[in-house]
Amino acid sequence: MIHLPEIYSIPLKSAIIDNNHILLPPELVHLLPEQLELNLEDGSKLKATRQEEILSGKGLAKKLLRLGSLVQWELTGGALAVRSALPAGGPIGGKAWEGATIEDPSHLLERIFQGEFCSLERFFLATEATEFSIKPGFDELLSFRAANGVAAYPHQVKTVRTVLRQMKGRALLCDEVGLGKTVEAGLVMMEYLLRGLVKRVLILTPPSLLHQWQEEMAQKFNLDFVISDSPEFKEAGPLAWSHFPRIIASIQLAKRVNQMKQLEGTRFDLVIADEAHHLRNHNTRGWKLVNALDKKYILLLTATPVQNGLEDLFSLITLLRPGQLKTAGEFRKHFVARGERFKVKNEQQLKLQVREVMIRNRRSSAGIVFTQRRAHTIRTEPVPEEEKLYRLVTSMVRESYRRNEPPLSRLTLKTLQMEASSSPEALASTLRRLVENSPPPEQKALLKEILFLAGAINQSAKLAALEKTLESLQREKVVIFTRYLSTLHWLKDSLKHLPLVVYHGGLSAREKDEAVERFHTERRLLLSTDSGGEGRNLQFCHVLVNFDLPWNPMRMEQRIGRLSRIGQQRDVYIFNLVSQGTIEEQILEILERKINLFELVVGELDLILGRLGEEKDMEEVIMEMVGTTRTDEELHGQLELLGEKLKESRDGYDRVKSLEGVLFPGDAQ
Amino acid sequence: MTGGLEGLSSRLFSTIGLAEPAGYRTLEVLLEEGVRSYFGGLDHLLLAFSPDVAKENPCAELLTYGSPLLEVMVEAATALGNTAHIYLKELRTSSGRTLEKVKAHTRIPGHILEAGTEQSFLYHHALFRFKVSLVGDEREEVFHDVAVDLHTGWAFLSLHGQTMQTYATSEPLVCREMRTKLSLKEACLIALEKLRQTLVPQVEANENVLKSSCQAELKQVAEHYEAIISRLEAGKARKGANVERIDDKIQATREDKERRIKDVEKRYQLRTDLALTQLALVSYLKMTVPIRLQQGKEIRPGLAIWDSLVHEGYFAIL
Repeated sequence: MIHLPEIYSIPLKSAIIDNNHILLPPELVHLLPEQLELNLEDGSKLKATRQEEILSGKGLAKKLLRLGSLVQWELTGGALAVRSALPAGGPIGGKAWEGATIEDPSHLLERIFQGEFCSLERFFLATEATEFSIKPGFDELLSFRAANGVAAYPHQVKTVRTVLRQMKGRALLCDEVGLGKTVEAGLVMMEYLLRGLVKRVLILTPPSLLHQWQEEMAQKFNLDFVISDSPEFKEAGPLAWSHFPRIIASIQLAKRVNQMKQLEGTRFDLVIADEAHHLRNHNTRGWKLVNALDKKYILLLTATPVQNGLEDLFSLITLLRPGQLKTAGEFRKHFVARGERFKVKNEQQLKLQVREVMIRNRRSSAGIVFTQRRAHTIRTEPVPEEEKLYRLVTSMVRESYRRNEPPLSRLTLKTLQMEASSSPEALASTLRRLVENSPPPEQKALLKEILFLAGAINQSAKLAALEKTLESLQREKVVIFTRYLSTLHWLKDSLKHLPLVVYHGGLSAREKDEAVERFHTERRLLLSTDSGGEGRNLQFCHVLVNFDLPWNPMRMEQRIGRLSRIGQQRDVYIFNLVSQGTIEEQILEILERKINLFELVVGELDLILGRLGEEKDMEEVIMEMVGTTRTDEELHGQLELLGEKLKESRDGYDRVKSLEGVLFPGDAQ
Repeated sequence: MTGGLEGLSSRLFSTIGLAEPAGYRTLEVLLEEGVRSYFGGLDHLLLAFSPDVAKENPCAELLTYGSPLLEVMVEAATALGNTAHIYLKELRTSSGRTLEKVKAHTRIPGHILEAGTEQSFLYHHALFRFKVSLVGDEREEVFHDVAVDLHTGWAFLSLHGQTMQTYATSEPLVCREMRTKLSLKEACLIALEKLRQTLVPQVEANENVLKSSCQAELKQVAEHYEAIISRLEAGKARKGANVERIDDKIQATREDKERRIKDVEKRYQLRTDLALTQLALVSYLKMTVPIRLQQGKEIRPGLAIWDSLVHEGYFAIL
């Protein structure tokens, strides 16, 4: 006959009434006599009495609790043994087994022994919460979850995985323009950041792209970067490089001797060098800087890795992995045809070695097709009042720029000059603020005169042209861009007979979502300012009108890029409204004539402007021309010179582009 | 995932304070005093679940996947919910064929001389939730749940998932049970051994991959710098060579090489960190058949146990 003992356990925390009394579970009541002796595990004995379901004994609860929160009662032949059901047995920690360590930071073993239990709701909630903090291996990419509005294009997913897994975070990303190298680099960075493998990031870019990178990192990845030309960075002095965890710096600044010294002693987990073709010569300061940086991971981004010869590739790859292509001499000997710096020798071998560190996606292999951009410039003849107003503003701006007296700062003057081409309303709103700001009497009189003229205009040639254009577009959905909110409101009133919806940075997030949704589903026109909508998907529309024109072609590109991007199925039509005789007309003419602005593929403008090496924003450069020239002819001459520089830059880019097939002709990587 | 985050935030903050939507994709939270320390001493939070909403609410904190606030929330949730005693009730325990089912699952070591009547007994388990971090050239984290039967030392992996799907309560269940034999620490060591068996093949595979990648890269680096040094050395023999300057260059190259080698070695180090993040006692009924076994000349009492929660049978010597 097999006999099993009668054992029951009691969770003490819920059973204790006070130090001398505990409440017995009903299951035990009938098993226990009214007078009993408890044989405790520690060898002591305790007399107790049972009255119904209450068990009493001197110091009963305290003595039982020493055994832990769960005690077992064993009835054997009338005796009652009481012992701990789960002794703690000491803390855990330290080495678990070879190569692994274990921690119990919250002392859970001890707490369970003491009966410190949470509610089940909290327990299961904690389990659910921890799932949100888990960092899976690189098979499962986390960055797309953390990014805003970044679609997971197959070529990008594959690139990110390859960089993380095969290339171990040291890669040369050479996608053709428009395939999203910046996004790929951002995604790789996010994968590392989210897993705690990277904390300190340095992004090196040409000066003209500093702000673009900053905006992109903030918008797409919710990451704040400090930029090297910001006051806070400058204020931090030499310690800035080590003080800020995420920095976007101009490579021109970083390679200065004094900065290099600071940088060389600073550890970065990840370094991203954009437009890395500038690092193609290992004798340059830029190359030496990047080589000397103390870094764990490094991404080099360029659409044009080979510019002066195949040795460019050697220099770039040596930054990533010294020895991957042996020494410069061996590289030349094995892979470069004698006397022909662009001709590959032992192509297959080179290809294999390069593929270990370089990724080059092409639009054709990635299945990405960019539709055409078709631009139409509509030149309008301003009505006499508009003409008079524009001339007066321009002359006042020129005069005041030279005097540089408050409240007409150079920024204000630039704003007034650009507003004059946008709409009288935009101009009037700034003028009103200036007049209220108690300027000197002479200035005030002039400002009031301009304000009066602006208020008196009741006819707009550009507005008439816009209406005509919209009419000709019949039922097409159209995005109308303006730089200024006052112009947007004026247009909204003027076009109120049309089914439109407005979109600007002042709308709440919900209003913005609703505006885009309404435009998508029911309205034909979206009136938008430049700001606030960069991440939103407007690819369902393929026509845009620039009611006014930015001076910086990059801003123009950003407007166009909201429609003309990966996913756009149709050719994108761009209508530029421009008043004859304005600065904008000249800028537009130069951009079209010198760099074929509207025929560029997504991303090409970055490369062209990047080659200019200009540290100032294009708007500032042009404003300086406006302010320092005395006549329109003189200004035209200056703009022509700028156009020449742009053309040189474009030609240089074209030359490099023509080398694209040189490295591995007809091959995707 | 954002939807998931909104849901989690709402549930979490409702249990540790008061949480109310305060507008479009925002959540206003009043925190209980006891949890404020996790949130920098704040008693009030305004959460935004989209960057645009965060921008228009300067006081709001953006909560997205990967944001520091999420880490804080997880830390708070874990600290406040890392221990529990879970009773699983309304489990359908089988009857009649317990011994056959156990035999089908496990080999009973000996000849069964006698089998008693099957009966349900309450069993207590320590359920360990380990966070395992494999840190090398990548970081992979995973949770492993290991349950250990405190009466027999039987360890198994599937209890946590089953617990989530069963009627769980903190109301005690008092039933006849077997004597517990393990301390929590002993149970933890058993759980770790079970975990080791699960993880070691993966760790070894990772180590092998890392080792070979590391060696390949070290070789490349060494060869690269050695070639440069040889070329420099050769240059010293040239007529008119500035030997001192070349020596300086050689020294600098050697230093660079050392730096690179250290860098490569560091990048390929593998580490396994285990942390016990949650621990629960899980108690529920199992069908048990007492048996007497003949093992050689010895006759020993034992138990055949059928766990109808995880559908597994096991055996224990009493």
